[in-house]
Amino acid sequence: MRYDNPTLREHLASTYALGSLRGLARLRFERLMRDDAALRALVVDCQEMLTPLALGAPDVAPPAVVRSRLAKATSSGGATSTERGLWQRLSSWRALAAFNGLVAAALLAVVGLGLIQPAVVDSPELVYVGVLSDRANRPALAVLAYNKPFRLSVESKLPLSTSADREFRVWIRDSETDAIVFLASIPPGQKTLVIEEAAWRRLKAAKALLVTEAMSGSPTDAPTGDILFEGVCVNLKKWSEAADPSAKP
Amino acid sequence: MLIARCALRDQAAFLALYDATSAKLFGVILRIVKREPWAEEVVQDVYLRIWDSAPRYNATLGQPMTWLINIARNRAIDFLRSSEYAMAHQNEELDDALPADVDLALSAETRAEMSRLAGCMDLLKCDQRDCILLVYHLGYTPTEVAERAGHAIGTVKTWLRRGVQRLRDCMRS
Repeated sequence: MRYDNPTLREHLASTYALGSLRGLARLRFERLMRDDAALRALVVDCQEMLTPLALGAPDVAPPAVVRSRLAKATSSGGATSTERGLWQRLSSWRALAAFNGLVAAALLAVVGLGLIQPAVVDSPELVYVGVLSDRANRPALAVLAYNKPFRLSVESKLPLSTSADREFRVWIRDSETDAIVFLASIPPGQKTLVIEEAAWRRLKAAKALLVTEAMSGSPTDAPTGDILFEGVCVNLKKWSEAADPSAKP
Repeated sequence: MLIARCALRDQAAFLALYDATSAKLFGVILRIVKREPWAEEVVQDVYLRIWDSAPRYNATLGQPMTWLINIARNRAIDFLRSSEYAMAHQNEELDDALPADVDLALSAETRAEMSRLAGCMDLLKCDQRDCILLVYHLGYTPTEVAERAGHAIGTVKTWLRRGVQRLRDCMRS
């Protein structure tokens, strides 16, 4: 797509300002805006123009409990998140992942609090977790790797959709060589996929996980196009054992 | 100024910002998600995002209120597309009437700008005006507007594009 076409730029800017760009289209456009100051200015211009529409809405005071919760959540002065359920945990981990040394402590705390239940014998066991952020550093995607049997599950905050002839691809960044190695493709509309043992072995060497989008059937020797999401890959089992050596078999 | 102090992790400034703006943002969110418990959830998330994003705020992102409103609108619209909303919404008939209580000349602070925009909105064709209000105020997608109005999606997208273009031309003139 030619993003230097003024008509297209104005159209995309107004669509974004109205809130009509969704999902990956919005993420792509936000990436585009970050590197294009003129486009960003176009969007802000349109947002400023439309803001009085929002200001015309009647004021409604939120319940007092919201303020109390916010006061509590920000009392430590650090970054925080209100995402619920899985995302609550993942956002916290991602924030802490910025400080590698704290990842272990964070995950141990999560496991310790019982937010992730220890694996039950003969049931699927969550072993690896990747919390992937978009280029604006917002947690957008979680890749969860289970064994018994080996499989990947993708949790997305936004609708993860692409055209029928394209697919998302998960890659690992090798902890020793920093090389990017293909792990698995996520067929359109699928959120869970079984992976081979060879792919599982590659996960063991992963310090990070990446997701790209590519034409189905195209070579997988290296990523093509932008890296849409990237984030640290954490071995939960390792952290659990580090926390409680007696738990080792 | 309050946002700059939030960037320095000043909680008092953050709560002052909340006190000064939460009724406005909650009103905007409530209009989109339509149910107070949902709006409560979204507004809480919005302010935590504001707290987290404050260090990255700068003037190129627009006026402070514009920045805040856009965070609120985006989160409310994301909530509309969430599975939680879809499940709760399954068996509910919601009132999707166009907002009738938008008074574009009420706020003393922005009276001139608002009445200018109101004047420009009046110049739009009804279809264009309704499209913009449905998308901007209620978080509709163009597809949903098309379904509601019984028109082709292409027609609705054209109305939106031309409507915003006319607004822009009018506001610049």
